[in-house]
Amino acid sequence: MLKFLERFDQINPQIVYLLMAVALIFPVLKPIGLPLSIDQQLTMPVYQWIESLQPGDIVIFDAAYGGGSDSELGPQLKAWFTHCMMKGVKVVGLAQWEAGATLAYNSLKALSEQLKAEGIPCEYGVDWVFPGYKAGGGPTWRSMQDDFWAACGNVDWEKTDFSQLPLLQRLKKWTPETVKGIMCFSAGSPGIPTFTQYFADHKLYVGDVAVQVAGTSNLLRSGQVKGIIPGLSGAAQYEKLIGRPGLGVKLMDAQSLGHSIIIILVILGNIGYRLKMRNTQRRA
Amino acid sequence: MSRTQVWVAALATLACYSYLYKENFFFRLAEHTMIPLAVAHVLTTGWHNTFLPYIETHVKGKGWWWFWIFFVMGVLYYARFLPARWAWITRYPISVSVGWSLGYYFSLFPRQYGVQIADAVRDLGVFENILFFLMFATSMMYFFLTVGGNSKPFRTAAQWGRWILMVGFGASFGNTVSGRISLFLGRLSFLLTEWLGVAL
Repeated sequence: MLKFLERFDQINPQIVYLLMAVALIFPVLKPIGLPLSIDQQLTMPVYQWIESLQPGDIVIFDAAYGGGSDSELGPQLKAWFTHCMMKGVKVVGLAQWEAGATLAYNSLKALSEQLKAEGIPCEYGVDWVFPGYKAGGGPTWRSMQDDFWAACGNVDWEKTDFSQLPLLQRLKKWTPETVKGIMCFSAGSPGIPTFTQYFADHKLYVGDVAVQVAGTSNLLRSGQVKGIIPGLSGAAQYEKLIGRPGLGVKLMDAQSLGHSIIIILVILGNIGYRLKMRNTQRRA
Repeated sequence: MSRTQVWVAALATLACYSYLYKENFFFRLAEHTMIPLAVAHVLTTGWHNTFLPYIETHVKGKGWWWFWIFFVMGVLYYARFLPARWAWITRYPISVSVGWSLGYYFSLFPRQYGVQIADAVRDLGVFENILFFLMFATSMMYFFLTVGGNSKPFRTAAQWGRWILMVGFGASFGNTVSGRISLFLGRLSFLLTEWLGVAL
């Protein structure tokens, strides 16, 4: 038995990858239904924020991510957007990343068709609008506060003039009165600092990639961020909160099983290392 | 995505993951294709999403002809490729850009950190805040290498600080692993649903 455990000190990486692949693929194909708890400090405030809004209130989201983070932030965006549409909250979508604009717009266009088919109002121009990526970085975002239309060049992501979009008739200036909060789906830079710098008096919520959550938590503590959807687990939690379990929930079984394998291998690897060290010392 | 696009994306995904078995031709092909594709993507999206909209909305639409000055300044960046006699011109756009950025960011940048520094001062009547203060102080002591750095109480506190930092890095690492697994799951769900047509 000890000899067997000693082998874990130098386990072949290909075996680790194979184990991980099996642990991740199997639950995706056959969900196990592992329990999923809601994070009261991170995810719940985001849900409660949308719940507290009145139908017709406007919120703005920022797709500050690219293809590398779409698997985490895509399900978050879909769940959050669905919640807004279910509550009648109007959504304006912007993007600090060009790739984020394309990913978010395509995703929401498909989702809005699906929601409409279910009878949830989700009309483009009325319930949501997507001006998308606007070049110029921080200064452009700052100028959106004074004149939203001019800073966006008066056109949305598909070059439709703002004057033809009824929702934007109510959004000439971006102030805490006209916009009831900001949701930043962030994978890096530019991202959250744009809002902590230029939008300090606005309510800021974050859809974060898992890697960044530890770093964003101090903003939550200082009150600069009001709530965080953390990674894929956050997406799954949000899907559960709105009563529409989707891809996030399905993938969480795999996520949990993958983590379990890593924890087991770390423990076994350390036991193997200790045993080997002990035997080497005895021989010496 | 069209069926051809799905096939290309699926095969490229498999080529990337084939590295987990060992270095091979398909991985190299995917790796070397990625870089020119990324450059081409940045150039075309920059042209369509930055250059053309500025021309259409600001220069043509609003008649802001002076935007061309910034275009010329941008072009001057390439002066560094000219013979040494003219290469100095590139310093002009750099100096204007750096000077403007410093002024702009310094006017707003410190505020966000000021809020966090202010938040670090808390009422020590609460256990959580005492814990926070101890962690904060000992972590700072780890990086304090000058006056008093060699005394025993200081070294002990700095050692605690090192443990606390390691717990923090551990939390970040755990989240990083979670993020990487999510990336794999994203590709896996693409392969299963869009490529193989499996209903999840």
